[in-house]
Amino acid sequence: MISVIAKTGTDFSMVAGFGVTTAIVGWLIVFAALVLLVIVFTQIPKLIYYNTRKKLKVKNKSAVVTDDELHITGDVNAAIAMALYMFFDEMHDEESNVITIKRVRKTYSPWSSKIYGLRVWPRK
Amino acid sequence: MKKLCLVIVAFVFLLGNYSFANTSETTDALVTGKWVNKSDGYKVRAGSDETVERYKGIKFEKNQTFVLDSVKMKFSGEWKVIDNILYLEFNDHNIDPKIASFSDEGLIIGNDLYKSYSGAVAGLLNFYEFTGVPNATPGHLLMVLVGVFFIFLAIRYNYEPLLLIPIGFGIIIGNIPFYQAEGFNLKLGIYEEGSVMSYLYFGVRQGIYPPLIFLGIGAMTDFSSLISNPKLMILGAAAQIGIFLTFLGALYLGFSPAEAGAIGIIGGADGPTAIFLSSKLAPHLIGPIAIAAYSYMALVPIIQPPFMKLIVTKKERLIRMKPPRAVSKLEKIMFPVVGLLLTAYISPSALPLLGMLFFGNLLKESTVTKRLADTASNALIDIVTILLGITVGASTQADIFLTPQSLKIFGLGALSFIIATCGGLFFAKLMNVFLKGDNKINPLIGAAGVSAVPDSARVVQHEGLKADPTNHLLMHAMAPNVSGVIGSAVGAGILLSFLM
Repeated sequence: MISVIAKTGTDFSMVAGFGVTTAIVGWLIVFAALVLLVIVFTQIPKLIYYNTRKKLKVKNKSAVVTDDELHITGDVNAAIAMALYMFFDEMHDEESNVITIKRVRKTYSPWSSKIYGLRVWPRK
Repeated sequence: MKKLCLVIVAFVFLLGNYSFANTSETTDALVTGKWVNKSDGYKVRAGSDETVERYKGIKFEKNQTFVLDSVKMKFSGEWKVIDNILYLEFNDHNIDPKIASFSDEGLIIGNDLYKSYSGAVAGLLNFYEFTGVPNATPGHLLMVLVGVFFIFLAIRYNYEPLLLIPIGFGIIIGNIPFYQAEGFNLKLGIYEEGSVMSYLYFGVRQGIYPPLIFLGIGAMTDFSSLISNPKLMILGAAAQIGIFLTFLGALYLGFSPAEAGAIGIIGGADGPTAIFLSSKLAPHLIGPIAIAAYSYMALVPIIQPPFMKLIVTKKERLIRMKPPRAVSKLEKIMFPVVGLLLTAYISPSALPLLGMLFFGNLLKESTVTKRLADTASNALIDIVTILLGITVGASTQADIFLTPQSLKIFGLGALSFIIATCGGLFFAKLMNVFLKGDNKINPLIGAAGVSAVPDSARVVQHEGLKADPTNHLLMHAMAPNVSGVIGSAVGAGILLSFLM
């Protein structure tokens, strides 16, 4: 297996010439690809919210619509969702409020024991 | 004169009788039991310089035929004893006839001494040769310890258990010693053609598993933190410096350009990408590269924190970042499509990885292919992870894995992780120079640019909480983390197109 490896030793001209060029160009291309994504995804929300921005401007001509007004953060969303959940959760029928507790007793049998089952997973 | 003639005749008769009796005894001894020899010089496999001792045995039959078992190849022929000398003539006329002589110790054929054993003992010797004991080397034992250590790390410290358990156990499987010889195939080992393990390893050798893993990763990953703050994507690109500097380091250490490229990708901190690239550029180095990549990924919680503390000041560690904005469904759906088009057009060689990654993400974000997304992110990725882990582990068969090259690869791998981490951290600090107010980023998240999803993001969260227990950086760190996956895949594609 070792013999497959080309044992060329250290070729400094290879490292300095081909190696450095490949490394710099390669890294720059990775950078370029991701910078391109950054540019595109910075502009996409502006395009998506273009109509909303336009409508808001029509309603209130003097208003300046900022990005912060259009973009809602996660915690604001969570607060709205919680409020809605609490509101809808309270909408239910009247209940009798009588709670009955029934005693249930089962006869133990090793045949139905869960302790000796084959499907018990080890616990930490 | 007459008397003298009688004496001579009697002497000749007696001598003939003695000679006949002697030949008869020799023949009886010859056909009893089996004659076994153990000698060195057998190659473990074709092209290997390593030699081992092997048994060979000869069974002589009363009907003047014999069968010679040599490294599980059988030769037959005929024998005869004339004047206490054994002549062997092979049925295969390409093999020269052999002459054997008897000594006190046994039968000498050429330079080999054969000793006579009963059939049962010869069978036991044969069985013993096939057990792991005579075939074990210190390398095998060392690798078994490495496997046990991986399992220990996974269970005791919970370091990437989904990877380290299959890999660790795979290392143990791959280092159970067994009978190996050139031209003889028991179909057991991962490197033996036709074995079950070699069929499973096919997916690694041909780069089939990595795209399937990427499909699962895509279906699991939520890119919203990245879409909400796209500038963090640059950190994922910055950390890829680890790939390219390691590439230079490998060239410097005398690896060929293709091998250096395959080793460099360890710096991408992405196991599937490392396997994918090494399967194309340096298939003979897949084992060490994959093990190095996965080991260092699991060791991210140990490798990264010292450099985070060294590079990021205490004041910088306290920086609070703006919470990410809510991302619309349309943006999430557009991301995989636009992302694929942009990245794959720049680096089409990474198409199998990028295509599957973004496809998996579209399955998830489209919300209409829930079943497919579920399969990709659960059953499929689990199956492939099991197969990948166990076969990559088993590929570390000591006689093939333990080479000076592997040690160099491990050294370069550690260096690449450190460079990548530092690259991300320094670039995050650099970005802060240009960012103002609450747009500033916590430089710790730069360390997450090394891919290793989601471990490096978890490390960032952990280190952030150490500095300020109320500062949660996990969501912010996920952005450079997933962009690191895209970046390392693009980097792999570039190296592939440069070096293949």
